[in-house]
Amino acid sequence: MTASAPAAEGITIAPTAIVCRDAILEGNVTIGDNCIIHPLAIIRAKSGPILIGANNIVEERAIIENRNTDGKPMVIGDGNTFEVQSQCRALCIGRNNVMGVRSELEDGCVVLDDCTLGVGCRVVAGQTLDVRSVVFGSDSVHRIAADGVLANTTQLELLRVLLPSYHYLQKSSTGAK
Amino acid sequence: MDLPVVTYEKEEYVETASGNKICKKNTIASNTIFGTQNIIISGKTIIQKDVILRGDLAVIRIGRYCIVQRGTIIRPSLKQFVRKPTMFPVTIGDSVFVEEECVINAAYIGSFVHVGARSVLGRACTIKECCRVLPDSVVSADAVFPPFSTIGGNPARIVGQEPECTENLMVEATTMYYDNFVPSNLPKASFA
Amino acid sequence: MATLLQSRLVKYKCSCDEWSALSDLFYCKHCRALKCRGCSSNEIDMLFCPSCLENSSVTEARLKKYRCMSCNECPKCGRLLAVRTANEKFYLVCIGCRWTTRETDTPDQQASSQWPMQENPYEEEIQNVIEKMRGLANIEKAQRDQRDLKKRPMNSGYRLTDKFGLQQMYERRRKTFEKATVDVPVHEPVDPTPFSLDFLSAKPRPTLDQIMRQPLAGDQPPKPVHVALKSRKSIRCSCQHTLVKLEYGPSTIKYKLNMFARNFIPEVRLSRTPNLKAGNENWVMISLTNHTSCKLDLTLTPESGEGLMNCSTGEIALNLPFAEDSSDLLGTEKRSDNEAVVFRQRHRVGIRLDVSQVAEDAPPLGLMMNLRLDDSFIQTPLTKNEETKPSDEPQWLAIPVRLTLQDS
Repeated sequence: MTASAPAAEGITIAPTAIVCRDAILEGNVTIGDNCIIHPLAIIRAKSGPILIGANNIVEERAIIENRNTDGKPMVIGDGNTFEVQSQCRALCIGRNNVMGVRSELEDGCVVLDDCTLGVGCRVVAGQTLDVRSVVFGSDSVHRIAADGVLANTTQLELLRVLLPSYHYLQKSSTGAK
Repeated sequence: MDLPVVTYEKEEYVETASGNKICKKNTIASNTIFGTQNIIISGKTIIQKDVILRGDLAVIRIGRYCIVQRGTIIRPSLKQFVRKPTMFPVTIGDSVFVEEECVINAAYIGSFVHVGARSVLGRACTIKECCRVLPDSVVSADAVFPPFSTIGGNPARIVGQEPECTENLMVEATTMYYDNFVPSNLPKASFA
Repeated sequence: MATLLQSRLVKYKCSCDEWSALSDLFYCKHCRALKCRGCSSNEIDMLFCPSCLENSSVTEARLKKYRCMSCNECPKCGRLLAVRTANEKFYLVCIGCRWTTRETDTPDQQASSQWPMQENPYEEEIQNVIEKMRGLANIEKAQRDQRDLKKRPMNSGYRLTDKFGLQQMYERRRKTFEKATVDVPVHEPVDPTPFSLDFLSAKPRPTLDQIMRQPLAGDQPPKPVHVALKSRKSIRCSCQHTLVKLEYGPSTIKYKLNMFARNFIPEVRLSRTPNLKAGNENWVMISLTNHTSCKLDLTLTPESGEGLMNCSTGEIALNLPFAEDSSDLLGTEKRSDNEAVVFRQRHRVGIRLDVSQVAEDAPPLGLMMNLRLDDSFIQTPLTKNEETKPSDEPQWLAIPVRLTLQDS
């Protein structure tokens, strides 16, 4: 089931990325190398473009939406994981972050590197999360961790093997196959 | 209170030979169940609308008389073994009632468990038999909960003890729910 | 489930005059009465760790201060700590808040199960004081023994063979004359009192949860906390017969003995949400289910009294078959039903009760259930003597039931 279909206009997908056909991509979206977008993920570049870096994982029902009023692009770095039903409307996200299940990043916030957002936690609008911050608990308590986050490379490798055999994929509408 | 009769549109559900009733017409996407060859549902189980079952990642085993309500996501999670990382299969026992909008990454949910609405069961956690997970609770990854515990809060802790006859109660509730889950165009039963 | 079926709305009266839901009640065959948790005694059946599900005996647990040696909790957020390896040594990591043991002064350990516990800084002093108290207790015992052993005869012969135990008695009496001295260090009063005003400083204080989890931490960096053991209970009636006992094993749900009330008493449940308006002509639908393994013969009488709903339906006599009863499939049994009985389905019966309500908020509905006790309800004694001949009269058990109609 490795049939791939071209995606809609304005969506650029790197050749090594795996984007399931059931993922919903709208607007001007650029997906970097080795990314994995699970089915039923929603990436909406409503008011501005979204640039997703390499090695990211976007799980199902995660919403990445660009609602910036001034049309600024949303830049997402490398190695991030957006877990199930997380909502990301941030301005800019660094590297190696983990957005937990049902976490919310409100409009205009900035997340630097190596951060972890726990389940259901939210980062309010305009806030900046420092390097290696951890947000956890029901009250979204912040603290700085000493160790870095484990990279998601093992998960990426596993998913690269599993997903293409069960899903139809989307490929870039412009450029190489 | 006796469980009320819940009707469904006959066209929206598939009824299998073993009595499973699985919704095929969802609102969020055309197909929410992936990897059906890896999903084993024992019989008389109800899978309602918008339930996402990620059988493509690993095997999902669901027992008899289970009810998975609308909007739940059941997804196997990564198990970090040193030699060979794999996706850990999800095993759900018999007579398990999973309410709406839950996110289940658990490795094992025992029989006769009632999972409340909007709860999140973390990666590879183990909920033993006859437990009850309160609504909106967040069970942390790799947690293990002994039988008969009432689990609640974020991070989830044991907040109470379930009655001893939970097994009988869950069997009764799930069989009653299954018997009362009928297509809407059937003639109405006299009093049920 | 109790919440799915809302069984908390219907309460039965226990033999101790307390009202409980049927799922919290038990039936004692010897006393022939309902028992609730309040009037029965609980005893600890087994102690086990909730995360590794390993059981331990009571003495073992007491030595380890009722904590599991292999499982640890994060001192910051209370989640279970995961073990990670680095250079053949282990360190612990919390998944939720990413606290690691590397933030404390303890180095990585060789074995993952022996993590050092928080030590009490006054542990040694306390042990010394306990030893001194023991010494004092021995002195007092010696004085008492001196008085008691004076009465015994003392023969200083029989040194080699202690035939009559007299040598032991002699030794014991001799010991009481040894003066044991105890020197307790006197604690001098210190002036001024060593009470620091540190709490006013700006450094981050541990939260109340963190302090309660680890009271001995003080100002030091917190260490991983061993998980507290949980206990499993078995329930015993006041007549000393066991009512509920689980099988051996921390993760079993099978019972060696289960005298649940629902195995003997039919369950009354509200069938539909009652639509009550002030005035007459309301009705409440209830259903009666027989979960037992034998046929039940009972009469249901609505009670109209003070504080209870006015119910105009009369006494209803019912014969409830059990779930697997096949005797009525042949159609041989004719049941003349009361007009209040709305439907019958194997072991379930639906009853409509006519109620009238004067005030705005509905009082609870009271019912009296009279159950005929046959042989399965009674513990027949093993030896038949004259006094305990089973009587020919059928015995009845009266159980008052209360239904809460309005969730206030």
